[in-house]
Amino acid sequence: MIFKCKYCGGRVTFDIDRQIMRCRNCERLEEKPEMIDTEVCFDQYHCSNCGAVLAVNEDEITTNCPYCGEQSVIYDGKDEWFMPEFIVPFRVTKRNAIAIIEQEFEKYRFAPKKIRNIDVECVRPVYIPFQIHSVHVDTEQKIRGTVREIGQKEAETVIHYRSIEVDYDNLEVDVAKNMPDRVSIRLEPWNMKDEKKFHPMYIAGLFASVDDVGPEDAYVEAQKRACEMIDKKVMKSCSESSNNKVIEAEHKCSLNHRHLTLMPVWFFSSSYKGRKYAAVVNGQTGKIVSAVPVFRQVFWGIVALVTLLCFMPLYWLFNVVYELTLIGRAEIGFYVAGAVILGLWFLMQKSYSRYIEYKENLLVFQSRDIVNIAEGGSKK
Amino acid sequence: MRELLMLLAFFVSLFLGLSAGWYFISREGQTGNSISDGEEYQREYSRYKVFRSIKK
Repeated sequence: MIFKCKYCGGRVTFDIDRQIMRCRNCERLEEKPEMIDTEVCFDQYHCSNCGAVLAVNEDEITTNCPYCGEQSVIYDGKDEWFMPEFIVPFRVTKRNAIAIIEQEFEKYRFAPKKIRNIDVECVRPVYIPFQIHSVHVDTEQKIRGTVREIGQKEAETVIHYRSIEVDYDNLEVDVAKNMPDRVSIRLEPWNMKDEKKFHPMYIAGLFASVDDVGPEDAYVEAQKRACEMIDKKVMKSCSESSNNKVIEAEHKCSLNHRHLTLMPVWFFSSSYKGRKYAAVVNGQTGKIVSAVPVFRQVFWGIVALVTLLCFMPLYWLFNVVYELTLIGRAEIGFYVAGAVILGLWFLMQKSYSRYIEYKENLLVFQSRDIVNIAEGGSKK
Repeated sequence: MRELLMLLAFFVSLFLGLSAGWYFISREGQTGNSISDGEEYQREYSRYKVFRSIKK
Protein backbone atom coordinates (compact mmCIF):
# COMPACT_ATOMS: atom_id res chain seq x y z
CA MET A 1 0.00 0.00 0.00
CA ILE A 2 1.30 3.44 -0.93
CA PHE A 3 -0.08 6.96 -0.63
CA LYS A 4 -0.22 9.28 -3.64
CA CYS A 5 -0.93 13.00 -3.82
CA LYS A 6 -4.38 13.75 -5.28
CA TYR A 7 -3.03 16.79 -7.06
CA CYS A 8 0.39 15.88 -8.50
CA GLY A 9 0.59 12.09 -7.99
CA GLY A 10 3.73 12.51 -5.85
CA ARG A 11 4.69 10.38 -2.88
CA VAL A 12 2.83 11.25 0.33
CA THR A 13 4.38 10.44 3.71
CA PHE A 14 3.64 11.23 7.33
CA ASP A 15 5.19 14.55 8.39
CA ILE A 16 6.31 14.18 12.01
CA ASP A 17 6.76 17.93 12.50
CA ARG A 18 3.19 18.80 11.48
CA GLN A 19 1.57 15.46 12.41
CA ILE A 20 -0.20 15.26 9.04
CA MET A 21 0.39 13.67 5.61
CA ARG A 22 2.54 15.77 3.24
CA CYS A 23 3.33 15.37 -0.45
CA ARG A 24 7.08 15.17 -0.97
CA ASN A 25 6.70 16.61 -4.46
CA CYS A 26 4.33 19.61 -4.18
CA GLU A 27 4.60 19.99 -0.36
CA ARG A 28 0.79 20.00 -0.03
CA LEU A 29 -0.63 18.85 3.29
CA GLU A 30 -3.33 16.22 2.85
CA GLU A 31 -5.67 14.66 5.36
CA LYS A 32 -6.88 11.85 3.11
CA PRO A 33 -4.42 11.10 0.29
CA GLU A 34 -5.12 8.48 -2.38
CA MET A 35 -4.38 4.96 -1.11
CA ILE A 36 -3.12 2.35 -3.62
CA ASP A 37 -2.92 -1.29 -2.51
CA THR A 38 0.20 -3.38 -3.12
CA GLU A 39 -0.43 -6.20 -5.60
CA VAL A 40 0.09 -9.76 -4.44
CA CYS A 41 0.62 -12.22 -7.30
CA PHE A 42 1.78 -15.85 -6.75
CA ASP A 43 2.88 -14.94 -3.21
CA GLN A 44 5.05 -12.13 -4.52
CA TYR A 45 4.50 -8.49 -3.65
CA HIS A 46 4.65 -5.98 -6.46
CA CYS A 47 5.47 -2.31 -6.03
CA SER A 48 2.33 -0.18 -6.39
CA ASN A 49 4.40 2.48 -8.10
CA CYS A 50 6.56 0.69 -10.72
CA GLY A 51 5.33 -2.91 -10.55
CA ALA A 52 8.73 -4.41 -9.65
CA VAL A 53 8.88 -7.50 -7.40
CA LEU A 54 9.55 -6.38 -3.83
CA ALA A 55 12.12 -7.94 -1.55
CA VAL A 56 10.06 -8.35 1.61
CA ASN A 57 11.71 -8.23 5.01
CA GLU A 58 9.87 -10.88 7.06
CA ASP A 59 10.34 -8.88 10.27
CA GLU A 60 8.64 -5.73 9.03
CA ILE A 61 5.34 -4.65 7.52
CA THR A 62 6.98 -1.96 5.40
CA THR A 63 9.45 -2.29 2.56
CA ASN A 64 11.32 -0.10 0.09
CA CYS A 65 11.22 -0.83 -3.65
CA PRO A 66 14.82 -1.43 -4.78
CA TYR A 67 14.07 0.15 -8.19
CA CYS A 68 11.97 3.28 -7.65
CA GLY A 69 12.63 3.77 -3.90
CA GLU A 70 8.89 3.90 -3.14
CA GLN A 71 8.00 2.65 0.31
CA SER A 72 5.06 0.29 0.66
CA VAL A 73 3.04 -0.86 3.66
CA ILE A 74 2.42 -4.59 3.12
CA TYR A 75 0.80 -5.81 6.31
CA ASP A 76 -2.19 -7.34 4.51
CA GLY A 77 -0.45 -10.50 3.41
CA LYS A 78 1.47 -11.31 6.58
CA ASP A 79 0.27 -14.52 8.22
CA GLU A 80 1.07 -13.68 11.81
CA TRP A 81 0.11 -10.06 11.54
CA PHE A 82 -3.12 -8.68 12.83
CA MET A 83 -4.14 -5.08 12.64
CA PRO A 84 -2.97 -2.91 15.55
CA GLU A 85 -5.79 -1.02 17.21
CA PHE A 86 -3.82 2.06 18.16
CA ILE A 87 -0.64 3.93 17.37
CA VAL A 88 1.45 6.51 19.23
CA PRO A 89 2.77 8.66 16.35
CA PHE A 90 6.35 9.89 16.18
CA ARG A 91 6.83 13.25 17.91
CA VAL A 92 10.63 13.37 17.73
CA THR A 93 11.79 14.30 14.22
CA LYS A 94 14.90 12.87 12.56
CA ARG A 95 16.71 16.18 13.15
CA ASN A 96 15.85 16.09 16.86
CA ALA A 97 16.77 12.40 17.18
CA ILE A 98 20.21 13.08 15.67
CA ALA A 99 20.69 16.09 17.99
CA ILE A 100 19.76 13.93 21.01
CA ILE A 101 22.17 11.17 19.96
CA GLU A 102 24.99 13.66 19.26
CA GLN A 103 24.47 15.40 22.59
CA GLU A 104 24.48 12.09 24.46
CA PHE A 105 27.47 10.66 22.63
CA GLU A 106 29.53 13.76 23.42
CA LYS A 107 29.45 12.58 27.03
CA TYR A 108 31.20 9.33 26.09
CA ARG A 109 34.68 10.81 26.39
CA PHE A 110 36.37 7.43 26.71
CA ALA A 111 34.52 5.61 23.92
CA PRO A 112 36.06 5.16 20.43
CA LYS A 113 35.52 8.23 18.25
CA LYS A 114 34.25 6.09 15.37
CA ILE A 115 31.24 5.06 17.43
CA ARG A 116 30.54 8.66 18.42
CA ASN A 117 30.49 9.92 14.82
CA ILE A 118 26.92 9.76 13.61
CA ASP A 119 26.06 8.87 10.05
CA VAL A 120 22.67 10.47 9.35
CA GLU A 121 21.90 7.67 6.89
CA CYS A 122 22.08 5.14 9.74
CA VAL A 123 19.18 6.66 11.69
CA ARG A 124 15.95 4.75 11.11
CA PRO A 125 12.39 5.38 12.40
CA VAL A 126 10.64 2.10 13.30
CA TYR A 127 7.30 1.44 14.95
CA ILE A 128 7.55 -1.38 17.47
CA PRO A 129 4.35 -3.29 18.40
CA PHE A 130 3.45 -3.40 22.11
CA GLN A 131 0.58 -5.13 23.88
CA ILE A 132 -0.90 -2.68 26.38
CA HIS A 133 -2.43 -4.53 29.33
CA SER A 134 -4.83 -3.60 32.05
CA VAL A 135 -4.27 -6.17 34.83
CA HIS A 136 -6.03 -6.78 38.15
CA VAL A 137 -3.84 -8.31 40.88
CA ASP A 138 -5.04 -9.58 44.22
CA THR A 139 -2.43 -10.58 46.77
CA GLU A 140 -2.31 -11.88 50.32
CA GLN A 141 1.05 -11.76 52.06
CA LYS A 142 2.55 -12.51 55.45
CA ILE A 143 5.81 -10.71 56.19
CA ARG A 144 8.13 -11.12 59.13
CA GLY A 145 10.29 -8.23 60.32
CA THR A 146 11.99 -6.91 63.45
CA VAL A 147 11.50 -3.72 65.47
CA ARG A 148 13.84 -2.32 68.11
CA GLU A 149 12.56 0.52 70.29
CA ILE A 150 15.04 3.10 71.72
CA GLY A 151 16.63 1.70 74.88
CA GLN A 152 15.49 -1.84 74.11
CA LYS A 153 18.23 -4.48 74.10
CA GLU A 154 16.54 -7.15 72.06
CA ALA A 155 14.58 -6.67 68.87
CA GLU A 156 10.93 -7.73 68.72
CA THR A 157 9.49 -9.81 65.90
CA VAL A 158 6.60 -8.28 63.96
CA ILE A 159 4.29 -10.14 61.61
CA HIS A 160 2.62 -7.99 58.94
CA TYR A 161 -0.58 -9.23 57.30
CA ARG A 162 -1.38 -7.52 54.01
CA SER A 163 -4.18 -8.14 51.57
CA ILE A 164 -4.35 -5.71 48.69
CA GLU A 165 -5.91 -5.53 45.26
CA VAL A 166 -4.54 -3.30 42.54
CA ASP A 167 -5.62 -2.48 38.99
CA TYR A 168 -2.67 -1.61 36.78
CA ASP A 169 -3.37 0.21 33.54
CA ASN A 170 -0.95 0.74 30.65
CA LEU A 171 1.43 -2.16 31.31
CA GLU A 172 3.39 -2.14 28.05
CA VAL A 173 5.06 -5.33 26.78
CA ASP A 174 6.80 -5.32 23.41
CA VAL A 175 5.72 -8.11 21.06
CA ALA A 176 8.47 -7.93 18.43
CA LYS A 177 10.83 -10.89 18.89
CA ASN A 178 13.91 -9.03 17.69
CA MET A 179 13.39 -6.11 20.08
CA PRO A 180 15.18 -7.09 23.33
CA ASP A 181 12.97 -6.65 26.44
CA ARG A 182 15.91 -5.07 28.26
CA VAL A 183 15.86 -2.23 25.70
CA SER A 184 12.10 -1.76 25.45
CA ILE A 185 11.77 -1.57 29.26
CA ARG A 186 14.48 1.07 29.44
CA LEU A 187 12.66 3.11 26.77
CA GLU A 188 9.74 3.63 29.13
CA PRO A 189 7.87 5.75 30.15
CA TRP A 190 5.38 6.14 27.30
CA ASN A 191 2.58 8.64 27.57
CA MET A 192 -0.48 6.69 26.43
CA LYS A 193 -2.54 9.90 26.19
CA ASP A 194 -1.01 10.35 22.71
CA GLU A 195 -2.53 7.05 21.53
CA LYS A 196 -4.51 7.39 18.29
CA LYS A 197 -6.74 4.99 16.36
CA PHE A 198 -4.47 3.12 13.93
CA HIS A 199 -4.38 4.09 10.28
CA PRO A 200 -1.71 2.94 7.77
CA MET A 201 -1.02 6.58 6.89
CA TYR A 202 0.88 7.00 10.18
CA ILE A 203 3.53 4.54 8.98
CA ALA A 204 3.79 5.91 5.42
CA GLY A 205 7.44 6.78 4.83
CA LEU A 206 8.50 5.12 8.10
CA PHE A 207 9.03 1.48 9.10
CA ALA A 208 7.12 -0.92 11.34
CA SER A 209 8.02 -4.31 12.86
CA VAL A 210 5.62 -7.25 12.88
CA ASP A 211 4.24 -8.59 16.14
CA ASP A 212 5.65 -12.10 16.33
CA VAL A 213 5.24 -12.76 20.06
CA GLY A 214 1.86 -14.27 20.96
CA PRO A 215 -0.55 -12.28 23.16
CA GLU A 216 -0.46 -15.03 25.83
CA ASP A 217 3.34 -14.79 26.15
CA ALA A 218 3.03 -11.02 26.45
CA TYR A 219 0.39 -11.44 29.17
CA VAL A 220 2.74 -13.71 31.18
CA GLU A 221 5.33 -10.89 31.09
CA ALA A 222 2.69 -8.31 32.09
CA GLN A 223 1.63 -10.51 35.03
CA LYS A 224 5.26 -10.80 36.13
CA ARG A 225 5.68 -7.02 36.11
CA ALA A 226 2.38 -6.44 37.91
CA CYS A 227 3.37 -8.94 40.65
CA GLU A 228 6.78 -7.26 41.04
CA MET A 229 5.11 -3.87 41.44
CA ILE A 230 2.57 -5.10 43.98
CA ASP A 231 5.34 -6.83 45.97
CA LYS A 232 7.24 -3.52 46.11
CA LYS A 233 4.10 -1.77 47.30
CA VAL A 234 3.54 -4.35 50.06
CA MET A 235 7.17 -4.13 51.19
CA LYS A 236 6.93 -0.32 51.28
CA SER A 237 3.91 -0.59 53.58
CA CYS A 238 6.01 -2.53 56.11
CA SER A 239 8.68 0.16 56.43
CA GLU A 240 8.26 0.51 60.24
CA SER A 241 10.17 -2.77 60.70
CA SER A 242 13.53 -3.88 59.34
CA ASN A 243 14.89 -7.20 57.96
CA ASN A 244 11.50 -7.83 56.33
CA LYS A 245 11.07 -11.24 54.76
CA VAL A 246 8.05 -12.66 52.95
CA ILE A 247 6.87 -15.85 54.66
CA GLU A 248 3.70 -16.49 52.69
CA ALA A 249 2.51 -14.91 49.45
CA GLU A 250 -0.29 -15.60 47.05
CA HIS A 251 -1.00 -13.66 43.85
CA LYS A 252 -4.12 -13.86 41.72
CA CYS A 253 -3.96 -12.05 38.37
CA SER A 254 -6.71 -11.43 35.88
CA LEU A 255 -6.69 -9.58 32.60
CA ASN A 256 -9.13 -6.68 32.34
CA HIS A 257 -8.25 -5.56 28.86
CA ARG A 258 -5.43 -5.55 26.30
CA HIS A 259 -4.80 -3.98 22.93
CA LEU A 260 -2.04 -3.79 20.35
CA THR A 261 -0.36 -0.43 19.85
CA LEU A 262 2.56 0.64 17.68
CA MET A 263 5.17 2.72 19.53
CA PRO A 264 7.69 5.01 17.81
CA VAL A 265 11.44 4.30 18.20
CA TRP A 266 14.46 5.82 16.41
CA PHE A 267 17.25 3.31 15.78
CA PHE A 268 20.82 4.28 15.15
CA SER A 269 23.72 2.00 14.21
CA SER A 270 27.48 2.42 14.01
CA SER A 271 30.41 0.05 13.72
CA TYR A 272 33.79 -0.28 15.37
CA LYS A 273 36.43 -2.95 14.75
CA GLY A 274 34.00 -5.06 12.72
CA ARG A 275 31.30 -4.99 15.38
CA LYS A 276 28.00 -3.17 15.02
CA TYR A 277 26.46 -1.13 17.82
CA ALA A 278 22.92 0.21 18.11
CA ALA A 279 21.41 3.07 20.07
CA VAL A 280 17.70 3.76 20.40
CA VAL A 281 15.67 6.89 21.08
CA ASN A 282 12.07 6.94 22.27
CA GLY A 283 10.26 8.58 19.33
CA GLN A 284 7.67 10.14 21.62
CA THR A 285 9.71 11.49 24.55
CA GLY A 286 13.27 11.60 23.16
CA LYS A 287 14.69 9.36 25.88
CA ILE A 288 17.91 7.74 24.65
CA VAL A 289 19.11 4.27 25.63
CA SER A 290 22.48 2.89 24.62
CA ALA A 291 25.71 1.27 25.78
CA VAL A 292 29.10 1.73 24.11
CA PRO A 293 32.48 0.10 24.71
CA VAL A 294 34.99 2.06 26.77
CA PHE A 295 38.76 1.83 26.17
CA ARG A 296 40.32 -0.93 28.29
CA GLN A 297 43.31 1.32 29.06
CA VAL A 298 40.98 3.72 30.92
CA PHE A 299 39.87 0.91 33.23
CA TRP A 300 43.41 -0.23 34.05
CA GLY A 301 44.54 3.41 34.44
CA ILE A 302 41.90 4.01 37.10
CA VAL A 303 42.72 0.73 38.86
CA ALA A 304 46.42 1.67 39.01
CA LEU A 305 45.73 5.25 40.16
CA VAL A 306 43.32 4.30 42.95
CA THR A 307 45.57 1.41 44.09
CA LEU A 308 48.54 3.77 44.35
CA LEU A 309 46.55 6.48 46.15
CA CYS A 310 45.02 4.10 48.70
CA PHE A 311 48.06 1.96 49.42
CA MET A 312 49.90 4.30 51.85
CA PRO A 313 46.83 5.36 53.93
CA LEU A 314 45.75 1.72 54.24
CA TYR A 315 49.25 0.59 55.19
CA TRP A 316 49.29 3.29 57.89
CA LEU A 317 45.84 2.20 59.14
CA PHE A 318 46.86 -1.48 59.37
CA ASN A 319 50.04 -0.44 61.23
CA VAL A 320 47.96 1.48 63.78
CA VAL A 321 45.71 -1.56 64.22
CA TYR A 322 48.82 -3.73 64.75
CA GLU A 323 50.29 -1.25 67.28
CA LEU A 324 46.99 -1.28 69.20
CA THR A 325 47.15 -5.08 69.33
CA LEU A 326 50.69 -4.88 70.77
CA ILE A 327 49.61 -2.60 73.64
CA GLY A 328 46.74 -4.89 74.54
CA ARG A 329 43.90 -2.94 72.83
CA ALA A 330 43.30 -5.57 70.20
CA GLU A 331 39.49 -5.20 70.28
CA ILE A 332 39.65 -1.58 68.97
CA GLY A 333 41.97 -2.70 66.20
CA PHE A 334 39.69 -5.56 65.19
CA TYR A 335 36.61 -3.34 65.15
CA VAL A 336 38.36 -0.79 62.91
CA ALA A 337 39.77 -3.41 60.56
CA GLY A 338 36.41 -5.25 60.44
CA ALA A 339 34.52 -2.05 59.60
CA VAL A 340 37.01 -1.17 56.82
CA ILE A 341 36.87 -4.65 55.27
CA LEU A 342 33.04 -4.82 55.45
CA GLY A 343 32.74 -1.36 53.89
CA LEU A 344 35.10 -2.29 51.08
CA TRP A 345 33.29 -5.57 50.44
CA PHE A 346 29.97 -3.74 50.15
CA LEU A 347 31.47 -1.12 47.81
CA MET A 348 33.07 -3.76 45.63
CA GLN A 349 29.87 -5.79 45.33
CA LYS A 350 27.88 -2.70 44.34
CA SER A 351 30.29 -1.55 41.66
CA TYR A 352 30.78 -5.09 40.32
CA SER A 353 27.03 -5.65 39.91
CA ARG A 354 26.81 -2.29 38.10
CA TYR A 355 29.64 -3.38 35.83
CA ILE A 356 27.95 -6.72 35.05
CA GLU A 357 24.73 -4.88 34.21
CA TYR A 358 26.67 -2.59 31.86
CA LYS A 359 28.36 -5.59 30.18
CA GLU A 360 24.96 -7.26 29.65
CA ASN A 361 23.55 -4.04 28.19
CA LEU A 362 26.54 -3.73 25.89
CA LEU A 363 25.94 -7.26 24.59
CA VAL A 364 22.28 -6.43 23.93
CA PHE A 365 23.19 -3.32 21.91
CA GLN A 366 25.64 -5.41 19.85
CA SER A 367 23.18 -8.26 19.29
CA ARG A 368 22.17 -9.23 15.77
CA ASP A 369 18.48 -8.73 16.58
CA ILE A 370 18.68 -5.06 17.45
CA VAL A 371 21.28 -4.29 14.75
CA ASN A 372 18.92 -5.92 12.23
CA ILE A 373 16.11 -3.54 13.18
CA ALA A 374 18.51 -0.59 13.08
CA GLU A 375 19.73 -1.52 9.61
CA GLY A 376 16.52 -2.96 8.21
CA GLY A 377 17.90 -6.51 7.78
CA SER A 378 15.89 -9.66 8.39
CA LYS A 379 16.78 -12.38 10.87
CA LYS A 380 14.80 -14.99 8.97
CA MET B 1 55.02 -8.67 60.11
CA ARG B 2 55.57 -5.35 58.31
CA GLU B 3 55.73 -7.21 54.97
CA LEU B 4 52.49 -8.98 55.75
CA LEU B 5 50.77 -5.67 56.54
CA MET B 6 52.17 -4.20 53.34
CA LEU B 7 50.80 -7.13 51.34
CA LEU B 8 47.40 -6.76 53.02
CA ALA B 9 47.33 -3.02 52.29
CA PHE B 10 48.26 -3.72 48.67
CA PHE B 11 45.46 -6.22 48.13
CA VAL B 12 42.84 -4.07 49.84
CA SER B 13 43.86 -1.03 47.77
CA LEU B 14 43.81 -3.20 44.62
CA PHE B 15 40.22 -4.20 45.43
CA LEU B 16 39.39 -0.53 45.90
CA GLY B 17 41.03 0.24 42.55
CA LEU B 18 39.01 -2.49 40.81
CA SER B 19 35.79 -1.19 42.35
CA ALA B 20 36.56 2.33 41.16
CA GLY B 21 37.38 1.00 37.66
CA TRP B 22 34.15 -0.99 37.39
CA TYR B 23 32.09 1.92 38.67
CA PHE B 24 33.71 4.36 36.25
CA ILE B 25 33.38 2.11 33.19
CA SER B 26 29.72 1.33 33.89
CA ARG B 27 28.99 5.06 34.37
CA GLU B 28 30.86 6.17 31.25
CA GLY B 29 29.62 3.48 28.90
CA GLN B 30 25.85 3.63 29.13
CA THR B 31 22.87 5.88 29.32
CA GLY B 32 19.13 5.65 29.91
CA ASN B 33 17.20 5.68 33.13
CA SER B 34 16.42 2.80 35.40
CA ILE B 35 13.59 0.32 34.85
CA SER B 36 11.39 1.78 37.58
CA ASP B 37 10.88 4.94 35.48
CA GLY B 38 8.31 3.03 33.48
CA GLU B 39 5.79 3.35 36.26
CA GLU B 40 5.53 7.12 35.74
CA TYR B 41 2.58 7.05 33.33
CA GLN B 42 1.09 3.78 34.52
CA ARG B 43 -2.18 4.34 36.30
CA GLU B 44 -2.75 2.38 39.45
CA TYR B 45 -5.88 1.95 41.58
CA SER B 46 -5.29 0.13 44.84
CA ARG B 47 -7.33 -0.90 47.85
CA TYR B 48 -6.03 -2.49 51.04
CA LYS B 49 -8.38 -5.15 52.36
CA VAL B 50 -6.17 -6.21 55.28
CA PHE B 51 -3.52 -3.97 56.84
CA ARG B 52 -2.49 -5.43 60.18
CA SER B 53 0.82 -5.76 62.05
CA ILE B 54 1.23 -7.87 65.19
CA LYS B 55 4.22 -7.83 67.52
CA LYS B 56 5.31 -11.20 68.89
